Amino acid sequence: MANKILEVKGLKQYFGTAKQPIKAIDGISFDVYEGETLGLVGESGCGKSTTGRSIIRLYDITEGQITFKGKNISEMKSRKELMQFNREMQMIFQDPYASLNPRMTAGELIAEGFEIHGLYKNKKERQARIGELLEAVGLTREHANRYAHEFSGGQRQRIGIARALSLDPSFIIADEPISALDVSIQAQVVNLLKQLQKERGLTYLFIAHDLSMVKYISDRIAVMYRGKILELGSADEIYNNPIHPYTKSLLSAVPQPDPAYERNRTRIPYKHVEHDPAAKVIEARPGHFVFGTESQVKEWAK
Amino acid sequence: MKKKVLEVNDLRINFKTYAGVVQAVRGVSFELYEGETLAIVGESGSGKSVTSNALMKLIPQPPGIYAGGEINFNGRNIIPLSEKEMMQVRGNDISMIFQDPMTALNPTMRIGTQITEVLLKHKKVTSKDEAKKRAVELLDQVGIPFPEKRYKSYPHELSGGMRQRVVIAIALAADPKLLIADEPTTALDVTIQAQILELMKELQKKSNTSIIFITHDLGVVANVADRVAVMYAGQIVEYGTVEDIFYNPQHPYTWGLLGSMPDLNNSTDELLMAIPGSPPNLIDPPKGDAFAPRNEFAMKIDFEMEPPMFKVSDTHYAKTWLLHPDAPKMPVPDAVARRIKGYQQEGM
Repeated sequence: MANKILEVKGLKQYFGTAKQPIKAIDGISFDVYEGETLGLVGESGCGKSTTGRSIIRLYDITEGQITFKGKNISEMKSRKELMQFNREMQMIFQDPYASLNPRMTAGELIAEGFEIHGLYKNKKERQARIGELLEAVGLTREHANRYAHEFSGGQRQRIGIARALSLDPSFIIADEPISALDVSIQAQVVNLLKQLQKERGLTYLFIAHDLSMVKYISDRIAVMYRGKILELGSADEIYNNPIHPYTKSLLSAVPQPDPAYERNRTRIPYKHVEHDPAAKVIEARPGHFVFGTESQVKEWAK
Repeated sequence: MKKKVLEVNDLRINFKTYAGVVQAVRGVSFELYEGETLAIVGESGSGKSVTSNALMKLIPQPPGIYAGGEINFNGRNIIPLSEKEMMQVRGNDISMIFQDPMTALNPTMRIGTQITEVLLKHKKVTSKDEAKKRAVELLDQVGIPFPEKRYKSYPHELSGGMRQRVVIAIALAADPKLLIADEPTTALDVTIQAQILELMKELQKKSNTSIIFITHDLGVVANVADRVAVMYAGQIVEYGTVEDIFYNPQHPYTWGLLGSMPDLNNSTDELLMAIPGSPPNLIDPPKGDAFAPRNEFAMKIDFEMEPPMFKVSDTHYAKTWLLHPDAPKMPVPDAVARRIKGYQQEGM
């Protein structure tokens, strides 16, 4: 079994006032193992992006514990520790139009990280690293002097990926990295992410709402709904043997590029019910976890 | 034989920009029959939205120019019509559903008023009371709970899915013969998307409306379409029934689109069949086949001469030199062939 790289325990993230909290994340726990891709899926507002942002310390968490490489991230206080953490964990954002500074060239954007961390000795080495990173993501060295607006959407996302890679991280949070891109470009970026993972042994937390892409890229999948993880298991398990009614409903709603299948597809509607207070995470099958009460899970698994 | 509602012939639309003239739509032709759904698929910049906006004459002039062709709606070419005449057509005969329901609705008006406005404007009702009654009916029809109460709501009080239902209610208010839906579900979650698609199909059955459905999601196309037009660089490159396109695709671009979607039945170890590069600049469209620079099957002629539409069957056409009798036989790429085979096995 691979090592745990990230451990999330009882994570809660509330916004708003103490009297009327908005429970964006309402107590979730999961582990991410080294070298794997964990897909986090759910509909808008379910808390999947908040989870990613909490893990990378963009928010101070309300409750719970996030352990990254054996260290509790909320207890990191010294500048040295934080710098180290930032080098290890990076994020790829959804919108490559909004996440790149339009007044910086691709080279400056990519070099920003290692300038802050002082990771190069001289100008020559800096240029060489920019070139390497551009080539690693399928661009060319000549692109370094261009501005973001001179690139297409797919190319911009490649710059975003090069930026994330610039500090040689081990863990990357990809928050909807392809949903702003065209279909043919999506495949390019997903292929690139897969290839980089193989070459560099990266671990991904892949956040998305597109279930077919998540199934394709992930080893394991966690399904989120209203701030809770309702089901977690291997990608094949979740797809072939979903247990929670919400997961079943979600899967039944995904259109497939097959007219005959589409004609016969019946959507399973999901009626929202408040979670039973006795509900907990139950291992229904080996490695396949479901949130519910004992009797519910038995009933659903039938 | 079904009645032909719309016939588009060699439509050309240009935009004047500082950088030069963008040829956004370069000779598009298709037809649409009563009660059927035509899906137009393509990437951003392929001209699918420009084509649909042109059908409503919503292209701002300038910078837009109707550079050629005809749009025959019920036998009448609408391109020469004046703005005043078009106002009679819009909403009444042809209406449109846009991608983002929040920007399509007026945030300062109650949703009920936004529906009655259409009814009164197009003289579908005679009095305000009648308009209100009809508006509540419409809200009920599109599946909005408590329609009397919701009649008084403002758009911000509704969820995304509910807002899109209101947009559909407005579009259907005047009982149009043609409904253009431009990415109506792209901004919505999958479960809401499934509901909206079901709703549109159900309403279509009831009123026998023709629908032009613009999307880039092939899953959605398989769900809603009777016929499909695949657009690339301002042109239709493949055109056929939904079965033709998904089970017997002929154009390398269609292969690429199908191959770039993950196949849930097959192993995940292999890479997706990505289309390399990006779409061409339409200020100076490439000579020959616009897809050639991204096409691994491209032949010499693809870079020199634009291919005509070749006939595959009575319903199926594709614009690629591969269909020329003298062209070498190119097998469908493995990933796509396997996927099609997978479909057929499932179907049996």
